[in-house]
Amino acid sequence: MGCCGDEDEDDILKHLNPTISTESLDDSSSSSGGPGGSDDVISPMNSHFSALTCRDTLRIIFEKLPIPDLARASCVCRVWSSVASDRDILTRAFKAPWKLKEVIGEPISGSFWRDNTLGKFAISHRIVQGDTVARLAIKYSVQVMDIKRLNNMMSEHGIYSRERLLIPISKPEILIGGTCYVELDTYAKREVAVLYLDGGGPDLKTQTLMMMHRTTSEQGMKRILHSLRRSMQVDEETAHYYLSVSNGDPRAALSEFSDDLRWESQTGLA
Amino acid sequence: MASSTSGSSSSSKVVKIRSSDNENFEVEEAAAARSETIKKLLEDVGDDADVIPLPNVDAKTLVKVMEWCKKHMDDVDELNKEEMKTWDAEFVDMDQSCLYNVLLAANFLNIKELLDQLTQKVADMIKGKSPEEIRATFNIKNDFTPEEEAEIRKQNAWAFE
Repeated sequence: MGCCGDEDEDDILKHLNPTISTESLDDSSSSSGGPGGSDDVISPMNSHFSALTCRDTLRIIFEKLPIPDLARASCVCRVWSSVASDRDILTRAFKAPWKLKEVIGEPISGSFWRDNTLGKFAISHRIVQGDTVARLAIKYSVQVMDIKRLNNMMSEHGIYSRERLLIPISKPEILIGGTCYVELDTYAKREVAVLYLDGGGPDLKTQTLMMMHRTTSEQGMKRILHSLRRSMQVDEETAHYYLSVSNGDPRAALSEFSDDLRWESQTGLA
Repeated sequence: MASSTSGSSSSSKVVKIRSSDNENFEVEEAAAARSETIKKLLEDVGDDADVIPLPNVDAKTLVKVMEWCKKHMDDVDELNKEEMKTWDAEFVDMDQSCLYNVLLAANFLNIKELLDQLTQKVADMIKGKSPEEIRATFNIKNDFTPEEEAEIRKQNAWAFE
C-alpha cells in the first residue's frame, strides 16, 4: 500500500496476483496450466474461454447489449444468467436508448426492465385550476384519447379529483438526460417510469408507497399476493395494484376490489 | 515547470516488462503507461524498476496489447481519427482465443479504451443470436438443469418472438 521503494519482484507479484480473473467459475481450462492461447482452433480443449465466464469482463460485455439480447444471453448458462440479471446492467440497458440519466426506485414486477418502449414512460402533470384534458393535450402535443387511456379516465369530469395526470410522451428527446421514477400509478394500474418536468420528484405519499414495497419482504409479499389472487380471481398485476392502493393491507385490498366490482356493475351496463 | 523537457524525455524512456512465460520486452514508457496498472507500478517503484513482471499475460498476448498501446500512444487529432478507426477495427478482428486473451489482459492491465473496443466486439457477436447460437459461437456449456432452463426461457420468452 504505502511506500514501496525497495520492494523486490516477489512483492510486486503479490500485488498483481489477486487480480487474476476473479470469480471465474471456469475450472477446466484454467487448471490445465498456461493460457494455451496459441491454439487458434476452437476445440473442447479451449472451450469455456475464461473471458466469457469471468464476471468482471462479462459485465463489461453485457453493458453493451440492448435489452432483448440481454434476455437471450441470460438463457445461455448459469454465470451468464446471473450477470445478465444484475440490477445495474438491467438499468443501464433500460436507460441507454433514451439517454436517460437515472431511473430511481425498485420496480415490483421483475418484468419491469424488460420493456423500455416509449409507452413505459410518462410525464407527471400536477393538476391546477383551469386544466382540461384537451388543454393538456395541446400543451404536451398528444392526443386526448391517449391521455384518457393512460389514466383510465371514463370521462373528463373526474379530472379535479385527481392530483395529477400521466401524460404520454410524444417526443423522445424529452427523456435525454432526464431522471425517471418507477411508480405504480394507481390510475394507470401499472408501473410507469415517470418524468417530472419541474425537476422535482414524486411527492411524499408516492415515496412512502415505494418504501413500503422495498421493505416488505419479497416472500411475504408473494404469499399475500398469491392468496389475494385466489380470492379475487384476478391476475397478478391487478392483485398488485389493489395491494398497493391499500398500503399493503390485504383485507383493505379485498374490500377496495369488491367496491370497484360493485361500482363497475352499477355503472357499466346499467 | 519543465514541461517541454519532461515531454521529450518521457517519450524516449524505455521500460522493461516480462510476460508470464518469461519473455522480456522493452517498450516506450508512454506506450506502456496506457496501462493504468503498469503506470501505477512505475509510479510506485520509480526509476529503480528493473523489469516489471506481468504474471498473467503471456508473450503472444503481450505483443498484441503493446501493438495497440504503441498505436494509441499519442492523442489522435481529427485528421487521423478515421484512419485510427479502421486500424482499431482491423485490430480487434482476431481469432477467438486470441481475442479473449487480449480482453483478459486489457482488463488486468486496466487499459480502458482497449477493453471497451474488445468487449464491444464480443457484444456485437452476441447480438441477434439465440441462446443456442450463442453457445455454439462461444463454445459455452449449457449447465442449466432442464427444469431451470425451461423456467428461465419462460421468463424471457418475449425475447424470442
